[in-house]
Amino acid sequence: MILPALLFLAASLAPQEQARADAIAEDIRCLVCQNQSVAESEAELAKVMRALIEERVAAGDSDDEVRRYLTDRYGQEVLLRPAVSAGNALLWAGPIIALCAAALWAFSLFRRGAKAR
Amino acid sequence: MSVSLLGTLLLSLAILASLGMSVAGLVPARSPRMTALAGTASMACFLAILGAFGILMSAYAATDLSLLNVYLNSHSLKPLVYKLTGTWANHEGSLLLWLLVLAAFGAAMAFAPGKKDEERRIALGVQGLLTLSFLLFTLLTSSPFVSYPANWPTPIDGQGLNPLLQDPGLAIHPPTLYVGYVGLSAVFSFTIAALVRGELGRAWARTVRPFLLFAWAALTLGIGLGAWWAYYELGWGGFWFWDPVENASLMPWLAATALLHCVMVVERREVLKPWCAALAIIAFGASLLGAFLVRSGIVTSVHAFANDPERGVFLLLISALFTGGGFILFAMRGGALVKDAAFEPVSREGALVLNNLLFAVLLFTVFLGTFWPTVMEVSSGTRISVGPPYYNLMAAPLALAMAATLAFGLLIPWKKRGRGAWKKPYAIILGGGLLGALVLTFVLKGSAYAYMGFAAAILILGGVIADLARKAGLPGNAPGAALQRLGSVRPASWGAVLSHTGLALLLLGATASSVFQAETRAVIGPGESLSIRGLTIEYETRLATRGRNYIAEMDRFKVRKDGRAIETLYPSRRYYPAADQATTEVAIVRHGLGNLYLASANGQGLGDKRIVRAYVHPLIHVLWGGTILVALGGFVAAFAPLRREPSRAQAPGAQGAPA
Repeated sequence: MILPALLFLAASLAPQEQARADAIAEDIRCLVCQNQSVAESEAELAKVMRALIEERVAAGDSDDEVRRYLTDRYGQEVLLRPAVSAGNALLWAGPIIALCAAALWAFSLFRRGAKAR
Repeated sequence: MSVSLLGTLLLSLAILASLGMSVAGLVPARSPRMTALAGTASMACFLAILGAFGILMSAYAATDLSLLNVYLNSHSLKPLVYKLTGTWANHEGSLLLWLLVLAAFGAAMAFAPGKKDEERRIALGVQGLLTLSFLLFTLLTSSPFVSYPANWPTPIDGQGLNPLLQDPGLAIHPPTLYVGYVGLSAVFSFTIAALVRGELGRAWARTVRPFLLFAWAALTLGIGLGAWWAYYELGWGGFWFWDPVENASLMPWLAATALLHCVMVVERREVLKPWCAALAIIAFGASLLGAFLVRSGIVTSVHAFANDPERGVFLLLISALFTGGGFILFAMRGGALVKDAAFEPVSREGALVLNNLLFAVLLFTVFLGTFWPTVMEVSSGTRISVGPPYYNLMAAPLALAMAATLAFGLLIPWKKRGRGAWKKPYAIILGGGLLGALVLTFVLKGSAYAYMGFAAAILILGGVIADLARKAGLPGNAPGAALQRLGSVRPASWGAVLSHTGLALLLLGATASSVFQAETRAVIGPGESLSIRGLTIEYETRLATRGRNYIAEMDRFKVRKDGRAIETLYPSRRYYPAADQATTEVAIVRHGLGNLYLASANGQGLGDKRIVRAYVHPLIHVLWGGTILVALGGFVAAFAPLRREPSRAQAPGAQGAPA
């Protein structure tokens, strides 16, 4: 168990890298909190995960690599922005399909209305 | 007579009354006496439940430990106001509140002015069935009137209450929200009655309008209060988390918003009837789904309570029965409502159809995101999260499209193309909004979200202003004449003006306070300071204090601007011994139209140092003010007199342009 104080002191990233780490942390779920990202939470686990992200960023990982590192350890659940994958196809395509269906419906309604006129 | 027995007796009486309401309302007999009987039964039902509720509340006030519910959820040391509001801060009590609102709407349906016709009788019957179902659910699975078990040790005091719930925001949040959720039941019941009779038209629209607007305004306020509570109580400065339970309240709101615009189309043009009927069923179905979500334990959420599968199944059954029944009826009767009236796409009704569809797409998106983790876990066993990044990505472009349609709808008259008079102002608004937002975003170095939020707010505001200008006959009229014309605008139209203005402000505030928030986090000891947006915040010292039922550790911070002390802040940590729970109390101070938000925590091994988080949320008061305006507009419109009968109102009136 790492002390939180140490974690705070350990963070010594360049401002640009820190911003990148913070942006990643925004989209990572704090697993022991309810609906908080690790960027927002003061829970011990969130601090550990923030430190992990900072460590990976310092080691030169890309954003995707950091996320993969986290999902390998904590599971897909940590991603507040779910992965764009075959399994999640319906989740990502659903709203677009709904929009198309709505457009078709509106078009048919307007055409029917135009005929009646 | 014991409190437990009296309460149970009153609820049993309410069951009889709601049974009477259902029978009188639904027997196939066209008689005014049956309508009167259903009305009387609805009043009896309301009074019985009101009595039961009053008894439970007085038991809470007196911390009457003979009731198990009071023992489990209250404590004699709580301040009186939180004892009273504690009545609905638990599963059983909140169900009784739900019932109270349901029965109150039943009585309001019976005694609202208007014709006491068949439609009203059948609607009362449906409302009676709903009340009966929830009464049975309460008495069979979740009665607040269960006695403290005789074989348990004599209780010394209650088991307290979650300190997070001892809070003014949360005390009034549930009742407001319930008026919204349950108010939609009246709309549902009238719609079922209209479907049964196969007559869903202008009369129906005029009947449901006040109920719908009132419920919608309450729902808006309830959601706003929830966001406000989360903002200052949960301690990390957010106000909307796309949490499943927040989504559960957003879904009926989206459906109801679409519905109330659709009802206007039916009232004016007698088209879109099947869509309207479907939306009414969806809106109340979403309310029921929300009730189920919160109490079933199917989702993880800060708000979830009573995670009990048995109750969940019962609630799911009620939801399925009424929503499913409504849809079956709709499938059988909805087709008969289709009327191929002349329908001009470039018209106000056309704009309302478009906005309705966008609302439906957003509703579907929220639904998909809320249930997708459950679907994934059941189907493949993987646990995933769908969080704010997903919803923001989907909702922001939709919101922008809605705003563009809203401005269009405000400018264009009903039915006809309006001789193209709308084209120039709309081009100005659209161009000005899209470009203005671009400049604003560029200057403030904002993101794509900032752009979409700003653009949406400007478009809506532009639409409202152009609409008012047209109503006043400006430009062209003398100021006096313009004011006179504005004076003759109907109150219901003012309601729309208020709500739309509120919406623009809400979007502006939400965008500014989230996209442009500043955050500083630091570990500092006494005498050290951190800085945020030109403010210097110095940690001075630690103080101890105690409240009625908690002890607290406060930290004193001095806020300086340009070296001058402008404010002293006291964030604190409270410990509630009765509940053995600790809470963090943030310190918030207004800074212009925004807030400076300060939370401080102590940590292991930190000694007298504090983990301090400071946020600046610009324009957040615009967000709260906007939300209040949206709701206020709804209340104004709900109580505004109805339009005159269409035959006369269709004639060119004094206002010249359609309102």
